[in-house]
Order: sequence, then structure tokens, then C-alpha cells
Amino acid sequence: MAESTDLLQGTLDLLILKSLALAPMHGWGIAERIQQVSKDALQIGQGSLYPALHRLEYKGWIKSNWGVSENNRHAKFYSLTRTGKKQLQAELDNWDRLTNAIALVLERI
Amino acid sequence: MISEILTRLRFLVTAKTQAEVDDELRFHLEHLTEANMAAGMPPEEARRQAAIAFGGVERTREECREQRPGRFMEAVVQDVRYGLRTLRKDPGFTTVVIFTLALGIGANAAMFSVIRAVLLKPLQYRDPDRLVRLVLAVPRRNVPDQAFNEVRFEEMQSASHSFSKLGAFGPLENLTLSGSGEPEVVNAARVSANFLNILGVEPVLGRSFLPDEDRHGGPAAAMISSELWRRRFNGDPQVVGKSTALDEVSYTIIGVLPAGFAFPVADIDIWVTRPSEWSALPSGAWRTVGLLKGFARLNPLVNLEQARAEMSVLQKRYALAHPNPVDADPSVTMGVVPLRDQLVSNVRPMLWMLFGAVGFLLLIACANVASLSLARATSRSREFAVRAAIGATRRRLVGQLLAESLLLAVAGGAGGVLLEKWSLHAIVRMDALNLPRAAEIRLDGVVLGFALVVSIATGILFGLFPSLSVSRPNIAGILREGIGAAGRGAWRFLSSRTALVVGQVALSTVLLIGAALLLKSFARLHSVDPGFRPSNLLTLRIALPRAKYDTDAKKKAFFQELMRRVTAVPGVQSATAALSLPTKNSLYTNIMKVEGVDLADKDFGLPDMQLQSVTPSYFQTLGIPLQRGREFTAGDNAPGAPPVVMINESLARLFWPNYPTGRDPIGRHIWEGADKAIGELEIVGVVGDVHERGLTSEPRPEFYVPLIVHPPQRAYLAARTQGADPLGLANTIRNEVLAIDRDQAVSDVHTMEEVIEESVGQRRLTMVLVGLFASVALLLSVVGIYGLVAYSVALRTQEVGIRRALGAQTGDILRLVLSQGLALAISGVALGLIGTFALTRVMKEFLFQISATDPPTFVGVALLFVLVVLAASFIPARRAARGDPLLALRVG
Repeated sequence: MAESTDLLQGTLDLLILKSLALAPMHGWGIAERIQQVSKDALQIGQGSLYPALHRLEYKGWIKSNWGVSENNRHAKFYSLTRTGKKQLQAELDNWDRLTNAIALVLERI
Repeated sequence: MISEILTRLRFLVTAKTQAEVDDELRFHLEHLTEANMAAGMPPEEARRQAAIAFGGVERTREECREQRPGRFMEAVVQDVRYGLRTLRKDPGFTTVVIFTLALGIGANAAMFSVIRAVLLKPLQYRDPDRLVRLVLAVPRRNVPDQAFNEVRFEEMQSASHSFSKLGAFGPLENLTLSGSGEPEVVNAARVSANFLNILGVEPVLGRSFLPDEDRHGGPAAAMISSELWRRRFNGDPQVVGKSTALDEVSYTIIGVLPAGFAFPVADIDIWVTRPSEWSALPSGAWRTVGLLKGFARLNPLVNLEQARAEMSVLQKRYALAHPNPVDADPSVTMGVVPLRDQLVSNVRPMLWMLFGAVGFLLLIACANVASLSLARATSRSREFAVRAAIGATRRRLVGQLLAESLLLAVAGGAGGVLLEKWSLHAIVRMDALNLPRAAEIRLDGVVLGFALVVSIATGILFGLFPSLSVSRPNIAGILREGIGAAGRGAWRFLSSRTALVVGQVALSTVLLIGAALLLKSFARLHSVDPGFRPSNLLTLRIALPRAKYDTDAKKKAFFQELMRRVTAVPGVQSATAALSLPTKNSLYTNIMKVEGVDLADKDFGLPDMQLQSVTPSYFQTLGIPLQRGREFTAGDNAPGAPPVVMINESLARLFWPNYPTGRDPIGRHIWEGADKAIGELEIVGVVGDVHERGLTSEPRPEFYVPLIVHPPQRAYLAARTQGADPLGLANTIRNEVLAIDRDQAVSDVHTMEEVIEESVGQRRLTMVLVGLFASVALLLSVVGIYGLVAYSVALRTQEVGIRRALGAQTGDILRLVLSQGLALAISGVALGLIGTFALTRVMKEFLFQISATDPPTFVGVALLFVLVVLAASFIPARRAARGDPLLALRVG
């Protein structure tokens, strides 16, 4: 099972939201996409992915619809809600602030 | 934000189903397999690799469920229901735990309600924080709250600026209330006219006292309690203005006080003014004899410290103006103490100590329950491993165990409240406690809240140990090999239990030493020689109404006739009438002059000398030894006889420090001053000291005069009987009194032994209670130790088997197990001894003639504990030594 504990708390949420910003996707697609884009550096296991998806859906940031996947299978597609879009922007700003701050500290000390 | 809440609410109603999650997971797994096949794996291998990479789905399913809103509440409900089910399945455990907790929580809640009502709640007066008591302390004579005289009171009233109002109350009295119905004896308080004004209390009917009613010789006015008003006057709204007779003197009722009003003490029926007009004293003594205790309301801008400073200046000024030995003593202080603190000062240390004791008891009970739960958790480790394997998170496991503990604790708390309700009834009724404000003790919301908080804290405390140990189970190990081989885990439980048992033993040691010290003190107290023989003595009290017995001749005639009749009763050896008896309210007066001795203060002489007025047979009846000279004779009581006096050893030493050598006191004269009726007296005898103020306080200078010299209005009768049951003669003697005067009331019929018992009642009760708590603590620790040793023996079965197979003898095995118990006992007892040393300061106050670090007690309790622990370990030890070694090896 791929470990996701290296990810900062909350970072997974940001990655999921960002992935869904382009188009609705199913769980497998999200994991695959993050893995590809990060050049296999980030592997999201199902044990972290689905609880996170459920959490976000319960928060109302994403919503799910059953649809048909590219290989013609019944699959659950997640997409961003309006609050989710706003939330994504807020999380991105947060992320920028945090990484800038950490970069500053790393440079100066 | 709002949309988020709405979403949550929606999902609360329409939760996602389990099937949805499963579908998603299956979909994910299929994709993984396809990805593997795309990479060139054969289908079988692709599926296998995918399953390995995918991992277990149970935890994911569980965690997806966990995300649901309202999941927490659902989990709690589930935990509670599951907890109830498991507890029902184990009724023995459940009963023992609930009972133990009920005991601990109940005792604590009861003590808390007493302490809250008595020590913590503000008094029910206006601005109670501003009310103070003026406390005259005489440290050299060990008198913490000495009454002072009217002269000092008037000086304080006119000179002090710290108080907006300053008042006083005098000695309490029993007066006979007559007119409008049967005569009855009532409790009366003498207070200054401004007392309600100071306290800020309004009468429910009528008015308060007027200043003119405080003047000696002013109008006689009385206020009555609501209780007396209802009982005797049927709540008559026209009662104000009616007149009633107290000791056959007419008083006008001017007002009714609110129900529950309890100043200066509870259960007063009637209040009258002029606090120094104590009916036991002739009017000449009113101004100079110390009879008053002061109380006041602080001025708005004055704090306690400022008031204290002013009082100490006034005290110095008074001592300069009246340089008699007692008043001028520089250690005498006039303190200013918050009224509430002074009111409860005699019970405060005792209550806190008892609260501490029940606190210890609760901790011990907690340790026991924790130990039991640990044992139970160990045997349930398989259950927890299974639950963890099928996806329970650590939080759920801990939550489950905590839910069980809290259920037990709350059930225990409920039992405790029942126990408390019952014990509060008992506490309030215990006269020996002498509890002030007892009427305010009740089981209210705050007390229930306290019980609830204690229960929950208890539940968390004893639930924590097992939860933390159990929630990281070695799943694979336990499932594969069963409980026995989950060795490391079991040993971990063992070490937590060891800590618990050691703590338990330490706490019980402290309690047991405390109880032993109290017991020893009490025994010492009983071995104090009171200075007379209390056995076979019947005592009773007679108050002659002032109006009927208005002359000394009438009083003397009554007592003479009484003595003649009582002495003639068959079974009575001798009888006496006296102003007072040991431990009863005694009378203090001044000695103005002593022949051949120079007194520093010519105006006041020596104050606070105890005066006794007795019939000739007093010393013989009480068994007080004559040291020198002679006892009183019938001739001393004859009219016109030269006035004589007997003094006690302490007084002789005060005048002639070399007594019994040096100058002979016999034949010298002294002058009694406060009571002008007495005057010059010739010393005819010296008798031994008597502990007049109870066994714990030292005898004080005292002098005795014949009854005719100072015929009392109220007196005690004491009769020494031949039989061992003095009370058997009570009715005969009462009838003799009625034969002289059929209206004469007799009260307080007791044996002298009962009177002395009553004076040490509070000590006895404290001792009994602490002893009780200590015994329960001991019992709980023994159970704890037994359980622990038995458990560790069970764990070591295999080891013991190997040892025996290798040739160890029964004795070796016994020694092995017993030494474990011994190590527990010694570490616990050592900790307990350290704790006790830390608490000596607290204990000192309750001890009598024994050190708080009394070595025999410490050693004795320590040895007792070690023996008890050895006995508790012996049973499991023998079981281990006797068992079949082959069987033991196979079990392993």
C-alpha cells in the first residue's frame, strides 16, 4: 500500500481539489493523475484517497455523480462545487503563503 | 459557510450507503489490475499484485464511515450500548466496581455537602463579608476565645473607628418561660440591642430592640424565634406587645425573628438584651466579670488588617489602664476574625481532615477498579485484537473502553448519591459533631454536580490505564497464539497494575497511621486522671426560678432539704449540690486581695478565678482528694458562721509558688471581689486539681465556698450510688425534688461518665470515622494485592513449571512469589510513611499527648501491612507451588 503520510496534513485535500478543477474525475483517475504529474513521486493509496473524498463531499466542497467511465464502466465521478472552487483558491493562497514562508526561513538560516 | 452546514445537514439525513463505498473500491481495484495487465503481466499475476498493492479495505470502509457528519454521536451511542451489553455479561465485575465506586463517591459527596454548607457558603446576613468577631485570645492559658468584661466592651465601643457598629453577646441560658400555657425551659441568648442592625436582619414581625432596652434597669423586652412563635403562640399575628414571663420576670415581646435565624448559635428560642446580666451572677459582678464576646460590622473603607491594628492599639491602652496580671499579659490579643471563620473554627480542621480521608478512600477505590479493569482488559485482549483487525481505529478502541468506565462511574455515582442522601441524614443528627450551620446542609444541585464531576473524573482516571494498554494490541501475536503468549503485553499490564497497587498501599498506610494515632490519642485521653472519680455518679440540673426563690435563705432552705432527702434515699452513698460540675459551664470571678501576697492590680485583682459553691459533702461525693487542712462542715453552712474557703492546688501554687513546702496557706485570708456579697474568706483546706474544662485542657486556679456563702440560682446535684447503675435512681431522686416543690423542673439527667463522654464526643466520632475509612482502605488494598499476585502467578505458570522440573522445592517457589508481594508491600509502605511525615502538621491538631510521628505507631502499621500483604500473597503462592509441573509446562 502506498504511504501518503509524507504529505502534509491538508495537502491531499488541496491536490484533490486542484485535480478536479479541470474536469470531473473518478477516484482512480485522481490518484493516477497525481502520480503521473508528480512523476511517480506521489502515490495516493486508496486508504487515504477515499476517506478524503468522503470528507470533502461531506463538507460540500465536491459533489459526486454516477457516470460511465472511459472504458464503459459504472463509476462515481467527483466535481468541484461552487464553495469548492472558492475553497480551492483559498487553499492555494494558503499554500503560497506557507511555501514562501518556509522558503524564506530556509534561505535565511 | 451556510452551504457547508446545509450540506452536512443533508448528509445527516441521507447518509451514503456502504454499497456505494464498496462499488468505488471495487472500481479502483479493477483499474489497478488493468494497469498491471497493460504493463504486460498475465491476468492471474496482475490481479494478485493489484490486491497486494491495494491493501486491506476494511479500514478504508471504516474511515469513510468515520467522515460522516454526526458520526461521533453515533459512535458514542454504539459504545454505550455495547458497553451496557458487556457489563451485563459480567455481573460480578460490574457489581463489585459499582459498589466500590458508590462507596468512594458517596463518602466524598457527603463530605463535600457538609463542607460547602458549613465552611464555604457565605452567611445568610446582609454583606456577610463585612461581619467580624472580636476574639480575645489568652495563649498562655490556652483560651482561644475568652469572654471580656463590660468595661472593656464600652471602651471599645467608644474608642474604635474600624466598625460601623459593634455589639456583644453574653453566655447562653436556659430560662423558664411561663404565662400563656405550661411553663417550659427555653434556650435564651443575651445580646446587645443593636445585634439585628449589625447582622442586617429584619424581624418578620414587630421591631428590633431599642438602645434604651440595653441599659441596666431599662425596659425588659424580648424577641422570639419563628419556631417558638408557631409552637407556643400558634403564629398569633398579635403576639407583639404581649407580655410573657422568663424565670418569673415579665418581658414584653417586641418582635419575631425569621425562621432559621441562628445567631449566636442555632436553636435559640428567645433573645433578650443586656448581655452581661447573666442570671448565674449577682448584679454586682456584671461589670467586671468577663462575660461578653464581641462582633461587629466593618466600616466600608476599613479592611481586616486595619481593624486588627486598631484593636491591638486599644488592647495595649486597656492593659496600661488595668495592669492586673491577666489583662496586662502582653501575649493577650484582641483579634478580628471574619464572623464565618470564627463560627466554624471548632470544626474546620476536623472537616478538612475527614474530606482528605474520604479523598484518599476514593483514590484507593479508583486504583482498585482500575486494577480490576486492567485484568479484565487483559482477558479481553483477543476481542480487541479482532476488533482492530476488522478495522477499528485506536480512537474507537479507547472510546469503547472509556465508555464502559464512564458507564460504571456514573452508575457508581448514582449509588453514591443514594448513599450520600442517607449518610447526610445521619451526619446532621450526630450531636457529637457539634456542627454549626447544620440546618444549611442539604443535597442540592451544586452537590449533585459535584458528584457527577467526581464520577466522570473517576471514570476517566480508572478507565485510562486499561485503555492505553489495550489500544495498541499486538494483533497478529494475540490472534495467532492466544492470550497466554501475548506475553509482552501482559507484562506491560502487570507493571501498570504494580504501580496502582503500590499507590494503593501507600494511601492506605497514611490513612491507617492517621487512624492509629487518633485511636492512641483517644486512649491517652481516657487515661487522664480527671481529678475525681466519675464512676457511679448520677448528675442532674435544677434551676430555681428567681421570683420564687428570691432570697438566699429560701435557696439555702431548698438545697438543705434536698440534701437531707436525697442522702436518705436507699442506694445513695452521698450527695452534693454545687454551682457547677466538671465539663459544665463554670463561673469565673476575681480575687481582689490575698493576705501576705502583693497583687499588681489593686482595682481588679486576679480575674478568671473559677468559683465553686458547694455543700460540705462535695469532695467526698466526687472523690476529690483533700491535700491539706479540712473539708467544709455543716457548721460552715450555718447562719452566721465565719466565711471559709477551700482552694485547689493550682491556686495555692499561684499565690505561694513553693507550695506544698514553704508558707502554709491554711488560715490565710483572701477577698473575692467581683461578687461583692462574698468578700473576706479564710482558707481552711487545699484540694487536688480537677479538669473542670474537659480532659484536654489543663486545670485552672479554682476556689470553693460553702453553698450558704454564695447560694446559686441554678445548681447541679450529684449523687454517688452504691449500685453500678446510677440512672436506676433517677426517678426516685426526681420524686424527692418534686416532694419539696412540685413545680420544680429537673433537667439534664445523666451519669457523670456520660457527661465526660459527651465532652470528648467529637474526638470519638472523628476517630471512629477515620478508623472506618482506614479499614475500608485496608480491605481494598488487600483485595488489590491479592488480585495482582494471583495474576502474576498465573502469568508465570510456565516459569514455575520449569523451575520445579529443574528441582526447585515448594519452599523455593513460595519464597519466589512471596518476595514479589513483599517488594510491593515495602515500596508501598515506604511511600506511605513519607506521605505521613509530610502530613504531620495536619494531624498534630487532633492528637493528644502523642507525637504525630509516634515511632511505635509507624512501625506497627508498617509491620501490620507487610504481614497482611504476605497473607494475601500466600494463597496464590501456595497454588503455584502445589500445581502439577507437567501441566504447567504444557499450558505454556
